[in-house]
Amino acid sequence: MKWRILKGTILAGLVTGVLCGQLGCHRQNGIRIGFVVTTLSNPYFVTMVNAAKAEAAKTPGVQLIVQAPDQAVQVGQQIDDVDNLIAQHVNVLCIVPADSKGILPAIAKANQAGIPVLILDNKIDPQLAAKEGVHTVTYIGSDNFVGGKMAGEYMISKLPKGGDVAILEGVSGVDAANQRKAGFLAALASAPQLHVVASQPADWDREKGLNVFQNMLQAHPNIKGVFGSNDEMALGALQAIHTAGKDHKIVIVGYDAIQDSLNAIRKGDMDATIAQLPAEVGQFGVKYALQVVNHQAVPPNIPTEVKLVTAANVASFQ
Amino acid sequence: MKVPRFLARYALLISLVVLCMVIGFLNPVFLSLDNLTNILLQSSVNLIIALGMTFVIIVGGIDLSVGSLVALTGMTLGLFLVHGVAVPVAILGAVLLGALCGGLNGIVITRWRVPAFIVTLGTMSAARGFALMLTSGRSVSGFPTSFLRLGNGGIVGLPFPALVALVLAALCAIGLRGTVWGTYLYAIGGNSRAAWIFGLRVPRYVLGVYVLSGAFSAIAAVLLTSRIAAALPTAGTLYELDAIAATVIGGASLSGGSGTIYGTVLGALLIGVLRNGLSILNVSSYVQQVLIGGIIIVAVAIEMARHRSSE
Repeated sequence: MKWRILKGTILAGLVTGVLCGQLGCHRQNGIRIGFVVTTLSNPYFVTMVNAAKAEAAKTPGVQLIVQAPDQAVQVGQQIDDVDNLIAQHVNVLCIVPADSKGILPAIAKANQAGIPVLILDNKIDPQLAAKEGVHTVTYIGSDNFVGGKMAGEYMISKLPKGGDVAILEGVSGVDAANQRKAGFLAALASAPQLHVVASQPADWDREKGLNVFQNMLQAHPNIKGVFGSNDEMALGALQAIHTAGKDHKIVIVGYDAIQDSLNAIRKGDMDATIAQLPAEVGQFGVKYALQVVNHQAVPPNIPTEVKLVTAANVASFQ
Repeated sequence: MKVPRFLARYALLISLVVLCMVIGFLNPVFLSLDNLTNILLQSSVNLIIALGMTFVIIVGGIDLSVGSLVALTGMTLGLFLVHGVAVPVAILGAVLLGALCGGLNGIVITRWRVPAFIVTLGTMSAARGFALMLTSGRSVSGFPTSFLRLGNGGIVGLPFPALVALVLAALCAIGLRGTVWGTYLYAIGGNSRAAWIFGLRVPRYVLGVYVLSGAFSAIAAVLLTSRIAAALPTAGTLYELDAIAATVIGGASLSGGSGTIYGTVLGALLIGVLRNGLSILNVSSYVQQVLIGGIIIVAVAIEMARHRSSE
């Protein structure tokens, strides 16, 4: 008997829910922004999301719905997140692609549903996007090539006598990983005294960065500098250098300016990192998303700043 | 397929030595004492987890939660340390938490009769979530130097993590081969119903095995946290697969009743040698994954052939 009542209640609830969804009774109140990042287990994205929330709170009636896969490499789960937001009829989507190509089908679906898409922080593949007819409103983020080049120029200035240099790459296939490496190599092209002796992926991961760089040091004991395409890998390299007893003998440059690396720079353990101002990306994302919803024109490319952080200016990045 | 008995018996050891010689020939740095030490160091975390996994697989179970438990116990340890808890107390706390989580797995598996695969799949997700919740996804660092020495120091050239792994392996081998307890585990894995009828308290032994697996994950987490000088909520991702691979390459059967510590040690070393060697040869990590996958399949195929030839 009780079971029957329970079943009836559940059924009634489901029917009401579905009807409600069809009639769109949740659509009435205000603007809803879907905000999809690659992971919330990286402080970089937590900062971005917090700034986006703060920006959204400024305008009454704006609701920010944040979604993120468990792991940064899972583009499949990110596509599901976008699907869910489309099903909730959000007004506009801000997406940080986990993969520059893999995210395209999700954007295509949003296009079909008539939901405008803003790309944040990591560019989509422009050729494939054009080929598949995928449309995005704008890209908001720093230029990773410029940042990589900045890191390369700093490395050159720190190693006037030249020497062997290594690169720890991010997950390949990701535009940010390719661009940072390309920018770094472009800077080094003008410095024949520096030789890139090893360049391998360590998947943005600290422990992998440690192991891979430890192995690089074995193969190339004369390495004088290492560029970690993100701070997690650079901090792994720092640990490998420490274990090898080569403290302060190898120039370490990271990327992202996370708290741990800022601390390491302040202590003098690490030399430099590239700051991308994730807060600005999050804030601009919401700001321009609202402009799009209100049918205001938005430029196709909105650059945010990159800055070199060294011991000299680390205090201003806390 | 007929395989000569000698070759079959020492197949794993022979392939490990051949692999080392080939990589050493391509780049002599590989065989330097420093680098061989590195391999031991880089394999030790996986080996410790794989030791616990060996017991679980011998009784016919599986533990997918080990990687997430590394993150959860590592984060707990990190938080203890930065809040001024004494190093030995913090370590003990983390290991107890690991044992407790393993015990939880064991209780649900034995009492509620939920398949181990499902239970530990659930705890894998839950433990990762808790690890992320503890600090809202942030890493924890700034540990006392006495703690950092654990992962980065050593005695007479042998790093502490490798030492801990080898001592644990020796203890496990003695437990499995030299005690009644070990014999019972094989009996339960071979035929748990027969073991039950024979009078063994099967649930108690199964529960114990998961407690061990959880505790070993926590010990691995202690060494890992010390080694990278930070506790990360994303640590240990996919470690369960490396641990299962080491165990299976070492000759354990997923249907239970077989597996040895000696095999697991060689399995973990084989994976460590491949990762380190290919990275020294500047081969991309993608090729590494392909090769490790291939080796798992070949190793199990050889193991099956060995079984047939000994029958």
